[in-house]
Amino acid sequence: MTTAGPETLTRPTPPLKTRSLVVPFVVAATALVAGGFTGHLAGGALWGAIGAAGLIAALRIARITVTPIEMAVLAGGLMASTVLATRVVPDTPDRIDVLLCLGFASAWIPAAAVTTAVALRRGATASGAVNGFVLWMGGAMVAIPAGSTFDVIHPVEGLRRGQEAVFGSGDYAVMALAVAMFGMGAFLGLTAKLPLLTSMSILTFMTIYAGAQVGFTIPGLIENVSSITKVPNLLPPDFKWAIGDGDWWWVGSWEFGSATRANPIIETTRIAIIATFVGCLLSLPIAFLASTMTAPNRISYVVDKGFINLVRTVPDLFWAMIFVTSVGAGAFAGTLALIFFSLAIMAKLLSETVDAVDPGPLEAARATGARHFPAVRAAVLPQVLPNFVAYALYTFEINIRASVVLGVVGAGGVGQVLEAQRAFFRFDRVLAVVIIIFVFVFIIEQVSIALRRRLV
Amino acid sequence: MTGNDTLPLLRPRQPLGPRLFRIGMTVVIIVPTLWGALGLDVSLDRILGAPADVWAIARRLAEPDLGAEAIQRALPKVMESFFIAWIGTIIGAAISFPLAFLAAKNISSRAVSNTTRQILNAIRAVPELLVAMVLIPVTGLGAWTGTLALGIHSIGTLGKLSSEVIEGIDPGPVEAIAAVGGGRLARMRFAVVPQVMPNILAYWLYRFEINIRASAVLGVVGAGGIGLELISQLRFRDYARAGTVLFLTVVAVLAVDTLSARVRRRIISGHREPGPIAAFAAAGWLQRGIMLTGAVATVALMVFLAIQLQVDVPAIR
Repeated sequence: MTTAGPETLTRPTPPLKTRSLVVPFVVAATALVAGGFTGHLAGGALWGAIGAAGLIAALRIARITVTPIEMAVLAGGLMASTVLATRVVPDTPDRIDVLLCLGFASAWIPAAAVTTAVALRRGATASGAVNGFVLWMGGAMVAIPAGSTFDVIHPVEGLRRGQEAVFGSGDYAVMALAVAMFGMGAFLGLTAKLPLLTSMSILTFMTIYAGAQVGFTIPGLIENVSSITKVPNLLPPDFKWAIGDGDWWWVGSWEFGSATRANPIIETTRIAIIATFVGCLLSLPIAFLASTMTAPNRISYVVDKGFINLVRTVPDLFWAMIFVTSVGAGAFAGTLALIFFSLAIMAKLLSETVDAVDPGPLEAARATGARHFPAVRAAVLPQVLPNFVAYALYTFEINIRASVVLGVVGAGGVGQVLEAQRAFFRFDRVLAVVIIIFVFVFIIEQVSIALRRRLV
Repeated sequence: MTGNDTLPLLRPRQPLGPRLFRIGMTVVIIVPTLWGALGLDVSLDRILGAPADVWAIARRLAEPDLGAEAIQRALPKVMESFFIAWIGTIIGAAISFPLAFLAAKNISSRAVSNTTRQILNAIRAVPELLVAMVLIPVTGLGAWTGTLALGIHSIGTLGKLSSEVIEGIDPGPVEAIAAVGGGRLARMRFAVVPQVMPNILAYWLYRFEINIRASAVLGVVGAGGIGLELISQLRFRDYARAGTVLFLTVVAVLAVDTLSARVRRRIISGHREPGPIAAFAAAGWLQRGIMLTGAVATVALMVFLAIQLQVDVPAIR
């Protein structure tokens, strides 16, 4: 047999993995950031050239081939953007505002446009292309606030301190970090069809940004580790004051330290019990309206669902503040707030259970000619009753935990004691009360969990 | 014959056990409720007057002051709450992840898992706000205290939820890795983690949703965020400003909830969901209308907030 020689075995290129894109991404981002240090040279063109070189190197490393035309377009777009970016930001910005951020963002439109176009040519979906463009803009939008948060840019403060407030190369580098983490991540993720890379780079940036805002930075951490020396402020917890003369847990009229008002822990328990009871009762009709299975019509379903979501959106202590303002400080306000809150939790959990019940009994009841609500009562309620009891106990646990903090805003219960002692800077007493609360909540929770396990 | 003489229908008496259970349950529910209600010393006219009082305040809160100054005061604080929640969730996730393996009964020995479990339970029992109160004398007033408090509390809840996910895994892959000679770490890395990661990620996101609400509250004790703004405006009886705070908080929470719910669905289902454009093309007319309204409202709100922030603000910090 005559064969034309063995064909050269070409290995199929393995599909890209997110892990293998990390190095290219770091190369591209580093080039753009490093280029930022040359931001004030050659009107920003050098910055763009370095960034483009990095991006093309990254594509090469990731084995994504680009045609020379695409390469030129990418480089041109990036350079146009960097030149515009250095033009848009004034040398001495007197303030950082939304207009400046918008201007900076619009400077990156050329880069976003060319990278999106290249990604589209390489098979990105329309949605992906839109997302990629939006991400470029988003990164450029947060770049200046980020630089100011990282304490690199301080135009106004700098002027006040007599420092030079000119936008320098370091500022461009920091802003390039934001743009790179969003834009380069989006572009590489789009061309390799690996959105995970984009999400990871954005999440990393968000974490750095948020960390800088709340003091979760390396210098901040060192400072905070050294604050451990302040722990003795808390010690020893003043149990002697908190427990009083020892009859604290059965006497009804006793307050931590004095015997003037109702025992705050008992008051807390009372608030939680009533709120759970009333909240659970009221949640029944609301839950049935919030399920497509049992709602009598669409309007009541939508209205009810909206109500539940609205109540759940506002944090529990905000409700407590609103009720304290409207009905006055004290346990009544706290009870109302908790009723409201537990009602929403119960209704949400229960309506989801109602959604999943067996529709057979309901159809059977309807077939006998029962009207809507009697049919629901006879066919659906018995099915969800065991879950209802379990959710009620769960809500009780949540309410106990919520009711100990209600007092902090003046809504009754043991939190009031804490707030008062905090105001006097008696943190040793605060710690003692917190430990007592902890034991109390822990015991109630364990009992409730054991009960729930029995019942369901 | 009088065969048609029907006997009156009698319900058979229920056996004693269930009846006693019923009576017992009723007593168990009613007695503490009565005890609770009697001790709270609330008069009937207060209860009857409450709706009117609440309505009076709610009406004024529903007219928020959306002027530039109010937005400039409140929005950075809302952002701070957001950042506190973000970093708090990350701290909680990072620390709870190894702890969850220690707490899982099918991974660790009995003693280790029981101890870890009890530690997690103990952490969970203290509300974030109390953790923050205890931390304030150590780490000072400010966002960092709130972040730590949220992080500590999240360790407890995330550790428990994650360990339950780990306990529910399919043991097959673990045995397979063990059969090819994989060590303990290899079994975790290649048999357990791939199985549990989607669910645990979804729990992290869920915790982030909860932490957003919790961090909004933390400011009340001075641990950073929007809470301080709300309580001081309410104390000054400046309801329009308090309404601003509530409005911005609700917007932020809704935005985070919507996004996070979407991402969670995507993680759990494991397949790509259609992007916004594809979803729009596939939707019916009514849904298209809703989506369009939502998009327009979101853009309008962002533009509005941007305009309000632009006026006379020295720095977005």
